[in-house]
Amino acid sequence: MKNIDVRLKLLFLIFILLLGSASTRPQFLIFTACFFGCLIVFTRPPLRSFKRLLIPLTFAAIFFLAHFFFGGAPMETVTILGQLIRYSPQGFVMGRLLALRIASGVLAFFWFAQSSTLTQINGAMTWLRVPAPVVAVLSMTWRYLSVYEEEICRMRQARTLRLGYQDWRSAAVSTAAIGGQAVVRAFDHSERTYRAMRIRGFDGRATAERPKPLTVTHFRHAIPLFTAAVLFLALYVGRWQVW
Amino acid sequence: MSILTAQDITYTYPGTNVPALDRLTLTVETGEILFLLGVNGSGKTTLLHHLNGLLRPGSGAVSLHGMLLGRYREKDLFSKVGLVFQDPNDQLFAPTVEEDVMYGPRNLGEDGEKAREMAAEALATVGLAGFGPREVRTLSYGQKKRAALAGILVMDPEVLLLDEPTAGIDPIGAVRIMELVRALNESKQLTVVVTTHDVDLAAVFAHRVCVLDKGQVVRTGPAAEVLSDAAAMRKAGLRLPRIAHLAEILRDKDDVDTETLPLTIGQARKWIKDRLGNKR
Repeated sequence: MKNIDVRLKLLFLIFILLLGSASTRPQFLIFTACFFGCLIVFTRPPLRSFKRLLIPLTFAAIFFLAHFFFGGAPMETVTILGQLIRYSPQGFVMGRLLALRIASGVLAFFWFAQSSTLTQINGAMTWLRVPAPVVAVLSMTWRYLSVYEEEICRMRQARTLRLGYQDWRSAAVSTAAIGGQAVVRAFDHSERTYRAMRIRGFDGRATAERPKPLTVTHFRHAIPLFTAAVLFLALYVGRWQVW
Repeated sequence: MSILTAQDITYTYPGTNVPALDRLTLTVETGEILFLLGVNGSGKTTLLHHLNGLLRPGSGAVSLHGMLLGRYREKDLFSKVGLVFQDPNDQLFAPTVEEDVMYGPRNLGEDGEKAREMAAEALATVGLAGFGPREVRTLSYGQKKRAALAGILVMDPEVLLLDEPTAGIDPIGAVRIMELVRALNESKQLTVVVTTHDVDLAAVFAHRVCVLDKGQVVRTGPAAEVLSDAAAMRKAGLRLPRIAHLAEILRDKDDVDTETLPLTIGQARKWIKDRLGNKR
């Protein structure tokens, strides 16, 4: 997967995201999520990196639940494990769609990020004529995320050592405190990260690998992606019904 | 010949009244290893940040090759004067070691392949050959220090500023890092400025020493002279190197006659042998 030119991967990603955001069929979105899930497994990223999926997927779950329970009238009831639960059928449909869009999009992005380096991604964005400031900001955000993740880990360890996660109540307090502290530290750390970038020649422009012109070999390597793109398109327009 | 000069610089951090640097003057000679010694808060790090232009003095001037730092393009300046932060976690921000080390060359306009080669070479220089694909977070603290050093060495600076390069590293690791720095100094004529409060390290590796106290230079000169000046060292809140301290006790309390204090184990060995020889 790493042999496929990052520009073609980016185009594929954009294509799938466009289809995903236009699609209203949950089956299509489930298929997309499963497809990228398989690609991610195939890419074999480090296990720790999967933690990055937690926050967006949690948000997806929250959106779903919010729509499910508070999606508006008419409300219906269902019995789950002996409990009578009121839910909104309309909210269920909306929430499911929203959550699946988030999940499939996040998995697609994750696959893309794990199978390409930052400078390659910057190069591809530059090739696609994305404005330089946007590339710079995205690049800085990405760099900052990995630094910040470590910072949060350290804060969590410091609290764990002082028994900050004894029970759900203390865990909630600790998590909330880390959340607040994280914002404060974000300013401090971003300043240091910026300084570290400056002393190594950062002048406001993102480093981008200037891509070589696309050749037949590039396209040949990307045949699996083109095949997948056609498959997705067929599924999207519904001419090839698998359900 | 001097390469870097700080002339009468004063700097006060915003929100404070006490100057971190107070009319400080310092000259760094080409090809030397200069140690800046001082207790915490004496202004060592602030001075380093002035020497590579990260901070601009409130008054006074810093110049490189006789030209004010402000007149250099930032890119040129940072590639000539490299600064390695005390905490490598502040310096390493890319997901993998290779990407981090490549960052400088890429900003200097090298293409990806060349930058990758340069990164591999720099990593080999600091003893981290083959560490390129490793995630930064998986490195030990000592390895992170080396990776941070590689990230600066890869830019081929003329002056290397090291902020507490051995802080938090085991004694053997600390000596290895300093031996690496000395080797670079000898092979490439790299000018090195090191901040530390480890006087024993300075005794072994420094050509010249400058003692800072409350943002001022209180003593500067050849390492042997400054490090055996007990009064100046203690006034700045520092101690003598262990070996010199022992010799001082022998001199003052046991009437062992000596003009100069040995600073290193090698010097002490010679000093003891001389005295044993005299007794025989």
